Amino acid sequence: MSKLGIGLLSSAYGHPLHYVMDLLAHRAVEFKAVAEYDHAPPDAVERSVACAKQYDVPFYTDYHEMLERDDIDIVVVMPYPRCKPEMIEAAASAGKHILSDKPHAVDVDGARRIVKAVEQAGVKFFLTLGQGRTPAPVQRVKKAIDDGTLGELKAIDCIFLPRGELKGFVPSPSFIADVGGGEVTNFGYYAIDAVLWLAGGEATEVYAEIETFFYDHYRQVGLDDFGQLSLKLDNGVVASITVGRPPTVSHPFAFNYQIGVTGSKGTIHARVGAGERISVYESDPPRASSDIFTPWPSRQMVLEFVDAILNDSPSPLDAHDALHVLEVIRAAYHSNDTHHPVMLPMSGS
Amino acid sequence: MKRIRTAVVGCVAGVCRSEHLPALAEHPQVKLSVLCDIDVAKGTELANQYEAEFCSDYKELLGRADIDLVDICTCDYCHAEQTLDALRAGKSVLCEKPIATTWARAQDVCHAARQAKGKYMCIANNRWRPRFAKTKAVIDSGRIGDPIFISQTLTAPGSRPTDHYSSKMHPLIHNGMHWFDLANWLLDDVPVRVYANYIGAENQWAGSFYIDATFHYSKGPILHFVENRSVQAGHPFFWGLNVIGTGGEIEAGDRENFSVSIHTAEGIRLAPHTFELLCDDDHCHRLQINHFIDCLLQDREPDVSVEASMKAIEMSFAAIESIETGKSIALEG
Repeated sequence: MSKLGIGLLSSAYGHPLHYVMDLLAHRAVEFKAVAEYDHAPPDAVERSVACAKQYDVPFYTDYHEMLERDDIDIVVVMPYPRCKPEMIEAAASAGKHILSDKPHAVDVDGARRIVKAVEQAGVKFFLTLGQGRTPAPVQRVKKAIDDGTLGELKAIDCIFLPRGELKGFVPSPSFIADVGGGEVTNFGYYAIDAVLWLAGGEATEVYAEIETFFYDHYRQVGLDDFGQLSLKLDNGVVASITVGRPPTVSHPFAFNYQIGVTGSKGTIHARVGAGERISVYESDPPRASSDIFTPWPSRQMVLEFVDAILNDSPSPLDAHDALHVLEVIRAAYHSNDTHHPVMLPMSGS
Repeated sequence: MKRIRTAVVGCVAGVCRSEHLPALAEHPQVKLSVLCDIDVAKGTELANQYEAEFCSDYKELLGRADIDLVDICTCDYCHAEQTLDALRAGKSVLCEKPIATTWARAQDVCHAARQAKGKYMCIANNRWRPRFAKTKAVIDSGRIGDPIFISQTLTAPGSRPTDHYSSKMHPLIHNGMHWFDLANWLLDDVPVRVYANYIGAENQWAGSFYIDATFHYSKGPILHFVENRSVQAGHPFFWGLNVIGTGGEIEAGDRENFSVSIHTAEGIRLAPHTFELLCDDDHCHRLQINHFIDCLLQDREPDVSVEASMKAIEMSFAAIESIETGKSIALEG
């Protein structure tokens, strides 16, 4: 059986090699090529060239040439998010399945273009939000919901506050135009998707308070680093989402991800990141420190995506799911601007 | 030695018997003069126990020159009327929360307290709870930088509908102001807007409900408040308080303060009585009552001003308005 060929389209933004390695963990996948695009940032080109060299695959300066190859079935699309709709349209029309990191677009129009492109082409799309759904405690929450333990769902509280400044991150003045937003966008994707997935509903109303609390370099370019969101869902569930990147590196849980679900029959609270831990207590000088070894479980859903292609079954997180998450994110920013709740779908968005 | 001659109204109420009466009785400069309640049998029994007089109509107390302080522990909807009567009679007043159950009545109390000869303080005992007091001290020391986010989560099974709370009163009035005062005090700030969601029986302190409220403060911080009364019987009573600052965090909630936790084979499922929360009595009511007695003895203003209590109850009413209208509501700030 011939393997599914993958092509990496740009190393400009996100975690391209991370997801290439996740894909290569599937024995039916083979890495075939790397490509960049006109006006790609020089550091992205450098990374892509190095990647092609590392895996001994060809590098294309024009990604359209890579898309013409018949032996490429999946394209990992990792340019700056503002470029993604156009590239995903090109990849879809070339018959390629698509894996994208978040953000998959900077606005709702872009996300709708992606839905249309993949539907018209009959290809599969996957957004890599496994970090929100696949940690074992979150899976346990899902099971408690699905097996009826909690009864009818009423409320979900989600905290997604990975701690510690992103080292080496220097946002450019065009960062918001290129990516869409700060941490409410970046981490909000995971938290919002997890909440909607657990609740089994779609958001009808969003209220948000969004701020830049922690980092001056965020503030200089207008990037947010903290948000508090309230959601009403079409199935009657209400949800709160606290998302951001506090700088508290001394806390033993660097990955602060918690979900609480209240139903008519029960309540569950899950804390991700309480995994393997080593604590060191010293006497001279007196000092306590802990290291938590938290897996970053993106791989499971990536492998499910490959299986979905092989079996022609639905993508585990498709373009419609991705569109709705971005709708909520954009509604959150709009709510913060107006100080009022925003109804979904937003008119004109 | 000067003693504060005290009458306690609503003496049969649970919080009065467990907190107020013992604290007042044991204070060396308090004379527990009169206990008052409409429940004559239980009230008389308590009065005998504390060697105090008993009366069933609080208005009998108002004209007595030998009463300095009226401590009000009655049903929430009685607080305002009784406070106004006592203040106008020249008494000092210590009143359980809430300050009032309507905004108009709260304004009346505020006005009367400012004009009164006696002093007024509404219970805000969370300020005296040791871990919250320590939280305030840590914030004020600057150790976590500027506090920018407070998360408050009150989780407990729903209460039975009782006359004490009145089935027509929104639960935010009873408990909300308690927590909102704590947040305002910790942040040393006041909110400018609120948005809130509510799931449960309409405007009833009965059965189960879930409240989610987000406040934005004048200097930028955010308060996220959840009161979850939709959990099952047997779920522990959690008071969660986490503070995020620009340079650190404080976790001061019950979840982080188990003295004993019992985990069963149920794993992460919270079945009835799989957890036991065993905390030492922190005497926070007693500490606040002692503070007010000190203020009366030394003729100084109490730490919990009537304006602070007004702001806290204003937050409750604004959150209720947000729930009822589906809009965010501006506060004066």
